[in-house]
Amino acid sequence: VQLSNRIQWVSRFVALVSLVFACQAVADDYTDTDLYIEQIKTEFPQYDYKKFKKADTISLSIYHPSPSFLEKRWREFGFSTNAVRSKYIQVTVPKLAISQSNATIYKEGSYVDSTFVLDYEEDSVQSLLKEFEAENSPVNSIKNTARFIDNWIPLKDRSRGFDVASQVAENKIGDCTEHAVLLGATSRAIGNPARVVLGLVIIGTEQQAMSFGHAWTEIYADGRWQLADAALRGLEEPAFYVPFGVLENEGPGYSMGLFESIAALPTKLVLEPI
Amino acid sequence: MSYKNLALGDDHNFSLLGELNADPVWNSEGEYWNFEVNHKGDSPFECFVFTGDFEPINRLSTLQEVVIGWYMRDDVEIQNKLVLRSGAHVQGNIPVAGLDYLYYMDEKGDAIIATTQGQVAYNNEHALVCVNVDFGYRKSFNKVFTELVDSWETNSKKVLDPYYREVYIVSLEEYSVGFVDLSYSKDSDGDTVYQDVTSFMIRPDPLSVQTSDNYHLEYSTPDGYLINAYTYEVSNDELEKSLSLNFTDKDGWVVEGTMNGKSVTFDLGDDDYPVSSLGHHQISKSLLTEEEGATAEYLGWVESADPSKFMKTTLELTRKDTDNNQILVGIGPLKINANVNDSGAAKSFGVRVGDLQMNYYLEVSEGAIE
Repeated sequence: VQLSNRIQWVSRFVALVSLVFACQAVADDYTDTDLYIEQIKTEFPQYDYKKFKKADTISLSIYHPSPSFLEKRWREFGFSTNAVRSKYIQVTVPKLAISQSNATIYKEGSYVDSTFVLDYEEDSVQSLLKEFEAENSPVNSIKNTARFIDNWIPLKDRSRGFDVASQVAENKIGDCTEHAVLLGATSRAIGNPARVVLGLVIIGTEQQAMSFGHAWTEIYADGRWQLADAALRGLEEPAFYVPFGVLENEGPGYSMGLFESIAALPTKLVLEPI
Repeated sequence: MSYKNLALGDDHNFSLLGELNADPVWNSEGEYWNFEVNHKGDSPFECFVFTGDFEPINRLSTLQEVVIGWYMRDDVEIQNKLVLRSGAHVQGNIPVAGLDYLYYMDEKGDAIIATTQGQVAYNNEHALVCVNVDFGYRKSFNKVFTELVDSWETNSKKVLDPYYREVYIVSLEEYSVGFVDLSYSKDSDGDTVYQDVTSFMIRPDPLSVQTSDNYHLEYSTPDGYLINAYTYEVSNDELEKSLSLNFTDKDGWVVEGTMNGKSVTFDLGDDDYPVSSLGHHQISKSLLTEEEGATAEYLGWVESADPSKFMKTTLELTRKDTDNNQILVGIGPLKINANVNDSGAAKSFGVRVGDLQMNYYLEVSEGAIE
C-alpha cells in the first residue's frame, strides 16, 4: 500500500483540474457540451431576458453536497441565506454582488504586498507598470486598470492553467485567472489593495442564461470592495457574479488554495423566475 | 507486407508487420529515433522513440503539429485546431494515450480540413509516439501502433531495473485522461529510488487541451526517510516547474529551482525528518494491521501541493473489510478515498473536485515492495 505517495500525483491532478476548472468563461466563447469541463449544470425555468437584464437581484437555489458548508462560505462573503435545505441553499444575489458586502471586513494593510502569485515586483510586471502609468491618468482608476489589462492580454486562450502575474505580463495570453491575477498585481502596485476571487458568473443572453466557473478581481477603494473583471470587460450581456472563495494562499502552494474554492462550487444551480 | 525487425541502437527492438520507408534515423540533438511506416495512404505513419524521456503526453501533442507541418505545403496556413478524441489505456503492461486533432487550414483563401491521429506509449523512461496525418486509415494506424507496442523491448543500461512497478489509468468522470507509471528500484548504495511519471490531458473546451507531464524522483533510506528529491513538470510543452530538495548540515532542507517562470529557493529548516514514498508505504501498511478507525500522520514533501514546506499527511482506516479496506488520506483541504485489498494493493482511489469525480484505477502491478 503506497497510499501516501499517491497523494503526490493525486494532488498534481487535482491542481491541474482546479486550474482548468477555475475559469470557464471568456467573453466570446460559449459552448454547450457536457463532454468538456464546462458549464455548471443550470436550470432557468421561465427565463425572461428582459427581466433578467433589468433585475437588480436574482434568486438562486445552489445545490451542493454540503449545503451547511456552502452557507458558511456564503456568510463569509457577507451575504445572508434565505433558506438551507438538505441539498441546496437559497440565496439572493445582488448585481455586482461584492460591492455591497465586506465593506467592514477589510483589514488595514492586507492584500497590498507583492506575493508569489501577484508578483508585481518582478521585471515583467514593472515594465507593464511603466507603460500603464505613461498612458493612464489617474493611475488608480479601477476602470482604467481593468481596460489596460484587458488590452495587455490580446490572446484570450484557455490553454493556460494558472499563470502568475509576471508570466501573464510576459506572455500576454490567458483566460479569466490570468486576467484576474495581473489586474490584482497591477492594482496593488499602484496602491489599491486587491484580491483574486473565484466563483461563478451567470450570463444572460436573449436565448438563455448560462453559468460558468470564473475568476475576477476585487479592488478595495473608497471604503469598499469593488468588482473588477478584465476578462469580461467587453461583455454586453447582463451578468451576475456569485463568489465562492478568495484566493488567500498566494504563495507557492496556491493550487491548494484554488482547490478550496473549486470544492465550494455547486453541483447545480436553479435560477428562480424573476 | 513483409516482416521487419526494428533495432534502434542497443536500446530498442520492435517487430512490425510492415515496411519502412528507410532505416530509422537517430537525431542526436533531440535524442530520438525517427522512422516512417508505409501504408496505403499518401503519407507514411511517422514514428519517434525518445530516450530518457519523461514527457510522453507533451510529445504526443506537439509532434502532431510538427508532422502535419512536414506534409503541408508552404502556402497553407493552420488557422485552428479542434481536439477530436483523447483517452488513455493500458496495452499489455504499457500505458498508452491517444490524441486526435482536426485542423482547419487556409490555402490561398480556400478552406482545407485535415486530421492527425496520434498515440504515445511510455515504457521504462522511453516514449514511443506515432502520428498519422492522412484522412482516415485509423484501423491501419492502430494496428501498426499496437504491433510496435506489443513487441517493444527496451534494454537501456542507463535505466535502473525496478523491483516493483505500478500503472494507473486516471479518469475524470467517465473519460480517461491520463496515466501514472511508478517504480521502485535500488541504486548502487542500496538506497531506494522511487520514480513516477504522471501524464494528463484535460480538455477545458473543444479547442483546447492542457497537457501535463510530471516526473518525480526520490532517494530514500531503507527505513523510509527522504534523502533527497527532484521533480519537474512540463505543461503545454513549457517547463512549468523544476525543483530539487536537498539537505545539508549547513543549510538544512532547501528547495531550489524554477517555478512559474521564476527562480525560487525555499528554506524548509532543519527540524523535520520528512518521510519518503517508501516511508509512506511502510506507515500505510502498518495502519492496515490496526482496528477500524485507526489513524496515522506524518510530514512529507508534497511538492505538487506546496513545494515551500513539508506538509502533514493524515491517514484514517475508515473501513476494514476483507479485500475491501478503505483509507481516507488527507493533506490540507484534499481528501482522497482509497480502496485497498488485504495484500496491500490500492485497487482504486478517488477524489472530488467540485462537481467532478476523479478516479485512479490500478491496471498493472509487477513485483513486490521490499
